[in-house]
Amino acid sequence: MRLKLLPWEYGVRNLFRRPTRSALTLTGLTTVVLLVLLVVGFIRGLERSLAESGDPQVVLMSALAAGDNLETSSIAARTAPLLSASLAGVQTRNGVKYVSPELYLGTRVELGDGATTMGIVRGVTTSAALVRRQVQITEGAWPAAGELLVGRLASSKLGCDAAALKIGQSVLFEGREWRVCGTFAAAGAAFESEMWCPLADLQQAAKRQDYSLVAVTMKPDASVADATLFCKERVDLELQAVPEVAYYAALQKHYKPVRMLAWIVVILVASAGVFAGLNTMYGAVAGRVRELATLQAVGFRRFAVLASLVQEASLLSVTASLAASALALTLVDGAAVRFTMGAFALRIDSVAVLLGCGSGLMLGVLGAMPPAWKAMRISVVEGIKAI
Amino acid sequence: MRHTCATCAVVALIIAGCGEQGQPGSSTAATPVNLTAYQAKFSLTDEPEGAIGVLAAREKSKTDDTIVVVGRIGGTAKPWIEGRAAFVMADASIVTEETGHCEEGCTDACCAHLKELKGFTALVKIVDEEGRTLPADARQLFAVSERDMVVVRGRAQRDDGGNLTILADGVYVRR
Repeated sequence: MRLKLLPWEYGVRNLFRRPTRSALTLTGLTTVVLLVLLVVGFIRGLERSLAESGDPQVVLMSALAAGDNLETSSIAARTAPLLSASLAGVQTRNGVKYVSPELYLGTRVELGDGATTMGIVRGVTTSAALVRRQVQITEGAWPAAGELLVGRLASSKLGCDAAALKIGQSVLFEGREWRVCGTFAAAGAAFESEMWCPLADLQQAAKRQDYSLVAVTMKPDASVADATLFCKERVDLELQAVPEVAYYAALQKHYKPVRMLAWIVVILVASAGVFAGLNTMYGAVAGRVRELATLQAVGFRRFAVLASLVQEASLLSVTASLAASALALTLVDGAAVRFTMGAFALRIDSVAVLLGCGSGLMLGVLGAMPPAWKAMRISVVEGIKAI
Repeated sequence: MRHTCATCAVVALIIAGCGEQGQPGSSTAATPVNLTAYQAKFSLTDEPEGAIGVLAAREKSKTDDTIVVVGRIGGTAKPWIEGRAAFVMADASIVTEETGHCEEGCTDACCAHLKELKGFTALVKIVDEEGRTLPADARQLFAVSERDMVVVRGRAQRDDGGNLTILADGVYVRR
């Protein structure tokens, strides 16, 4: 026997019969889905920022004593030419070795309006452009002496207006004034919250002769083992070789509690949404007991009526999910968030949309089932008599 | 049927959309190696004569000297190089079976007594005729572990930092 379902239009029309209640439920569901999208976007953005920062071919040579902390790393200036000359398997093009000595500082930055804040500065040479393949100058030019190339998210890290870091603006750090000469993007990598300046200038300003690290691009057929071998061979240099991917993976571990907390927030928000949905649907169904009983009296089976109620709730939740996704993609996606080691962009990607819409659909279906089931358990006669 | 096809298409699209970009492989190339051939060539069945300690080798040897050095694997938190037939050995008078190692997870930097040992160590690289380090893990190649006593025969290589590297053509393990 074929189950006779209620017409599709019946559920749709019902939503418009109670426009205020439908609009309120829709707003509530949209808010819940938007919150889920926000939190998932935060997690995805943080993960992506750290994942994109690691190039599988790049090995970071830093001080053995520094461990995972590049800011405290200090290696002798002779390390870079030594690596160029002695390390096997370094990528080379037209005789130029892909070896980038860098000075990495967290320092106090004074903006044009006199406000001071903490920023991240990296002193680089032109070889950084070879090794840091994600980096692309989007405006202006490579920094000359006394100039500064600022990352796309540097203003977020500094907590200032983007206009304060426009080309031609000046900032002060390490007792010296630097003129912004351009901006760069790095495909979502952590570099985007940094400011790059010529290495020699930064060394001079910071009164340092050492480097924080030397980033080396290995040939595709070479291995990090070659770099490790070099470190074990030249124990006098007290170096360690860490694949860049492993370095950022280690940072991901530091942020694990934050990510865990964010996932807990997702679950709590979604659960709150389910309860809110349940409450709304109980109210909606309670006022329609007579209608539902009448539908059964005219021949529709209980399951058909139940399916129609779930259909109404699902329609609302799907609409809410789509609306929340559209809002998140237009308003939230790419928004910069400041955090300890820089800034990253919230990322509403396919996973975030899937989780958001999945939560929305779950809210609709789970929220509708229990009240609908409760209404179905009332006998037809009692239902028709109900006021 | 039409609904089933549509559902399958949607699920396939979702799965495809959610697919992560494949993680880049490790930079360590997985080179197939013939361990047995290497063992036959580089593992010594008889202990070479005239072995000197690592400390003596560091003091006396010059680049390209043929030397036989005895010592204990260790002297650093991680004496092995993944995927390469190389290891760090230390003078046996400094590193004994009981000393010369750190707590799990500790590094040379946090393990003060290991930091002091860098003047008593040498890097051993097992190399082929062209001077390339063999692409095999020394632990598998010679069935050795940390603090094992080994006698290494090879050429000395010195640098301006005073470090000693032994380009070995034979390794004997004292059991």
